[in-house]
Amino acid sequence: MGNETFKEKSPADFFYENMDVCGFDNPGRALYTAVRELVENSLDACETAGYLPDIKVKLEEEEKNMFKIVVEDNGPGIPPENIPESFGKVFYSSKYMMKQHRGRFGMGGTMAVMYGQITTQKPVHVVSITKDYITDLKIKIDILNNLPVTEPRNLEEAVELNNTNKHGTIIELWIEGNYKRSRDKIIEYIKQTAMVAPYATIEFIEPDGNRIIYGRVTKEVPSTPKESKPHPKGANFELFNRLCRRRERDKVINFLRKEFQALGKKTSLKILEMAKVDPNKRVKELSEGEKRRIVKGLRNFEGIKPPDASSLAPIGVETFVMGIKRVLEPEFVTATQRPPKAYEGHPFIVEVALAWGGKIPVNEEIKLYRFANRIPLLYDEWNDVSTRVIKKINWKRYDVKTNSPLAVFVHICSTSVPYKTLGKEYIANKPEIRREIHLGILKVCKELQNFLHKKEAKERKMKAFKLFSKHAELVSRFIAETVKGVDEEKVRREFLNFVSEKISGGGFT
Amino acid sequence: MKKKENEEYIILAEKIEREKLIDKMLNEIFLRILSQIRKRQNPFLEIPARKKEVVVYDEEKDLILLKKILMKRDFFNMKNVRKFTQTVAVSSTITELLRRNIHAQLRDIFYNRAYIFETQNESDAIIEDIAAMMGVYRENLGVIASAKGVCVGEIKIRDKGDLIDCSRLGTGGWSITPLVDEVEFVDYGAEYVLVIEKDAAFFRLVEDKIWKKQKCILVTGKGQADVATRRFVKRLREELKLPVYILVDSDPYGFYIASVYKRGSIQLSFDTPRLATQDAKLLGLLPSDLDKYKVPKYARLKMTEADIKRLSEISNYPWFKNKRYQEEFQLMLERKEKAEVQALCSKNITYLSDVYIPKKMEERDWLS
Ligand SMILES: Nc1ncnc2c1ncn2[C@@H]1O[C@H](COP(=O)(O)OP(=O)(O)OP(=O)(O)O)[C@@H](O)[C@H]1O
Ligand SMILES: [Mg+2]
Repeated sequence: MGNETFKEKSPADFFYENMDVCGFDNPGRALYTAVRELVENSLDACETAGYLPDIKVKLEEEEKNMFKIVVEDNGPGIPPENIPESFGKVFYSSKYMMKQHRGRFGMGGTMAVMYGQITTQKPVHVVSITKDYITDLKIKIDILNNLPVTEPRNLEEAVELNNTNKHGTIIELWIEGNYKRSRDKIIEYIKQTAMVAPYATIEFIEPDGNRIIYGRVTKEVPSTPKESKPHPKGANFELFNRLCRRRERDKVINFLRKEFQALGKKTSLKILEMAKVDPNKRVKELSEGEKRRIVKGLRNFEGIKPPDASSLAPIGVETFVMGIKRVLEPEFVTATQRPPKAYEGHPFIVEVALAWGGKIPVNEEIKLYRFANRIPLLYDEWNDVSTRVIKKINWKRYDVKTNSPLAVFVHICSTSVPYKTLGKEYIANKPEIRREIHLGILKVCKELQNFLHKKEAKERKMKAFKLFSKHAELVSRFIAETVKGVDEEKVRREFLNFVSEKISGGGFT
Repeated sequence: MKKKENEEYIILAEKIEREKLIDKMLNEIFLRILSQIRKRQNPFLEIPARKKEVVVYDEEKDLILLKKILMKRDFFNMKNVRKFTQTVAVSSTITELLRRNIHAQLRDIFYNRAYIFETQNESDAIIEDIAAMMGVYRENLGVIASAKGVCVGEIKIRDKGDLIDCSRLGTGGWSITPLVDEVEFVDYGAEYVLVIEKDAAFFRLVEDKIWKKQKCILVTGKGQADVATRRFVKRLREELKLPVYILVDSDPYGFYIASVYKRGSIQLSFDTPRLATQDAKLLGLLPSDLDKYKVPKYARLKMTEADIKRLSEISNYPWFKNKRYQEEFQLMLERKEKAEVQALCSKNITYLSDVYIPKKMEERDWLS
C-alpha cells in the first residue's frame, strides 16, 4: 500500500479514450453523430434566442473517406470570448441549468471537434456572427489538458465589428467517415428533425450534390423555456442534500419555500409537521433522520400543484401534427400532450402522436419514432421505454390490423431526459415516464379507432352504393326486357334514386 | 325429420297452363319488384327453402317431402343482392322461353346470363328456386336437364311425332329424351322393367337379347340416374303398370343408386313424388347372391374404409329399416366384400342372361 502513483486524467483525455460512449465508435457512426451534434447546437441556439431556424448542412467528400461538414445557422452567434471553450473544452456549456435544451452534457460539439482532429489533424473552423462582432477562428483541442488552442492565438485578431444586421454561426469540421454506412441514418435524422421542428427550414446537401430540403410550415416556435426549481414530488435524498449545502443557515421552512417550486408557507408547514421537524430549525442542524422524513413528506404529500412546466418546451399538439404532416403526408394524424409530471425531481412532459396512411409504409411491426427534447433517437430502439410500452398495447382492441400503415411518435421533454447512454440514444425505463407514454398512446389509439371506424363506414357505403347501383341497373333492364310497356330509363332512374336514398339513410345490410 | 300435423308442405302442381304460368311469373316477380320500387319498399323475393333441414320423410305415404319455409331474398343486402339479380335475370329468360314455347337446357341458361354467374351450379340453383317459387317442376318452366339414360325392349314410343320401336334400335337403344313427359307410350309387349345401374352390364343384356326372351324393357341411367331417366321409369310403372326391378352392383353405392330410383335424393327432394318408383324391387346383386351363385373369390373385391362408412349411412335410411335389407347389410359388413354385376360372368359370359336373371325372377328372390 502507498505505492500507487496518482495521476489526474483530464476530462478530454478520458473521453478521448472512451469515444464510443458518445457515439463516435466507428467512421460510419461518427459522421452521423457529428452532423447531429452540430445541428442540435444550431437549433438550440436559434430557439433560445427566439429566431425561426434556418439550418443548412453540407457534406463534402474532399478525399476518400475524408469529409468536410459545414453547418450554418441564423442563430445569435457565440460571443467571441466563449468560442474557444465552447469547442475546445469538454464540459463547457451554456446549458447547465434546470431548463430544457437539446444539449445537456457540454461535450457534443466538442467531441465532434475532437474526433475530427484525431482523424484528420485539422482544426475546426468557426465563424460566429453576433449582434456586435464577427469572429473567424480555428480551434484545436489540447486533449491532455482539456484546453482550446486557437489560431490566431490572439483572439483580438480574429474579431471584427459587425456592421450588418446578420447573425448566425458557421461551423466547418473535417472528419474521417464513411458516407455509405451513415447515409441512411443522416437522412433519417434530418427527416425526423423536420418532423418535430416544422417551424425550421432544414436543408441538407449530400456529397454528390443532392439537395434535400424541408421548408418551414409554421412560424409557431415552441415557447422558450424558463429556468425552474425542482418539484417536491421528485425530491430525493441526494438532490435534497445538494440543495441543503446552498442554504445551510436558512430556517428549514424558508429553505423549502425558496428551493422547491409549488411550496407555499402552509404546505411547507404541513409537511414539516408530518415529518416532526421544527420549522425554525436551521438547515445545517437537520439530522439525517429528519432529512429523510422531510424528503418522504415532500414526495408523498397530496395536493401539491403539478410541476411547473414553464421550464419545459414541449412541441405542442398542433406543431407536432404539422411536422408529421409535412414529412409523412398521412391520411390521419392525431397528437396528445400529457400533463406535466416529474421523475426524481425533474419535470417532464410526454407527447404522443399517431399517424395512419400516406407515406407510412405498411409494416408487420408498428413504426415508432422516438424523440427526446426534440431530438430524434435513432439507435437502440429495442431498449427504449416507448418500445416496451408499444409492445404491451393490445392493438386488436383498437381494431388495428397487423400490416397497417401506422406510425407512433413519442416525444419526451424534460430538464433532464434520463438517457441510458451519453450518446443520447435511448430512454431509461422510468415508471413515471412509462405510465405517461402508456396513457398518451391509449388516448391517440382511441382517436385512431374512431377514424378507422368512420373510414370503414364510409368505404362500406361507397362499396354498397357501387354494388347496389350496378344491380339496380341490371334489374331495371331485366324488368324492361320482360314486362311490355315498361320504360327502362324511367325504372332505372327511379331505382337509382331509391338506392341513393337507401345509402344515405343507411337502410341496408 | 318427422311430419307434423300443423305444418305446411310443398305440393307441386302437376302442371300449370303456359299462359297462366307467364302471368304468375310477371305478377310474382317483375310487377311485384316494380311496385316495391315505386312504393320505396325494400324489394324482396320469397323462396321456399330446399335445404336438408326442411326435408321430411312421410311415413304414411312413404315419401320425402319439403316443409314449407320461405326464405327472404332482399335486394338491399350486400351479400344477397347478387342472388336477387340472378333470380330476376333467370326469370326473364324463363319468361321468354315460356312465351316462345321452347325449351332450353340448364347449360343454355347459364350461358344466356353468364355475365352474372360464376359457375353453372349457381344458375342451376336459381332455376330450382324459381321452380319452387312458382310451384311447378323445372321442366314446366321450359328448362330441361341433359339426359343420359338409354332404353331397349318391347315398347313403342311416340316422341314429337316420331314413332320409335325400342326393339329395333340395334345394340345402341333409344336415348331417353329430356322432355320425357312429352312422349307417349303407344304399344308394348313387355311384362316388366329391368333397370340396370351400369352401362357395361346393360350392354351385355342387350346383346344377349334378354328382353326378347324375358319379355322386358331394359333401362340404364349409366350410374347415378338423372331426372329424365327416373321420370321415365316412374311413368312405365304408373302408366303401364309394369313392375320394376333394379340390378345394381353389390356395394354401398349400388344400394344408394337403387335408393334414388325408389325414394328420390335429398338434393331434389321436392321432386320426389314425380320421380320416385317406390315399389321398385331390388333384384340384385345381393350380398347373399355371391355365395348362392358361387361368385369366385377372385371376382370379389375388398371393401374400403369409405365403403364401410357409406354402408353404415345407408343402413340408417328409414326406408331400408326392414329385416331383409338389414340382413344383407349385415352380411356385407361381416364379409367386407363387394362385387360388380359382371362378376357373375366370370365363369360364363352369358351367365347373367342365361341363369341369374331367369332364376331370380322365377324364385321371386328380390327385396321390396
Ligand atoms: N451554433 C451555435 N450557436 C450558438 N452557440 C453554440 C453553437 N454551437 C455551440 N454553441 C455553444 O457551445 C456550447 C457547447 O456546445 P456542446 O455541443 O459542446 O455542448 P452542449 O450543447 O451544451 O451539450 P451536449 O453535450 O449535450 O451537446 C453550447 O452550450 C453553446 O453555448
Ligand atoms: Mg451540443
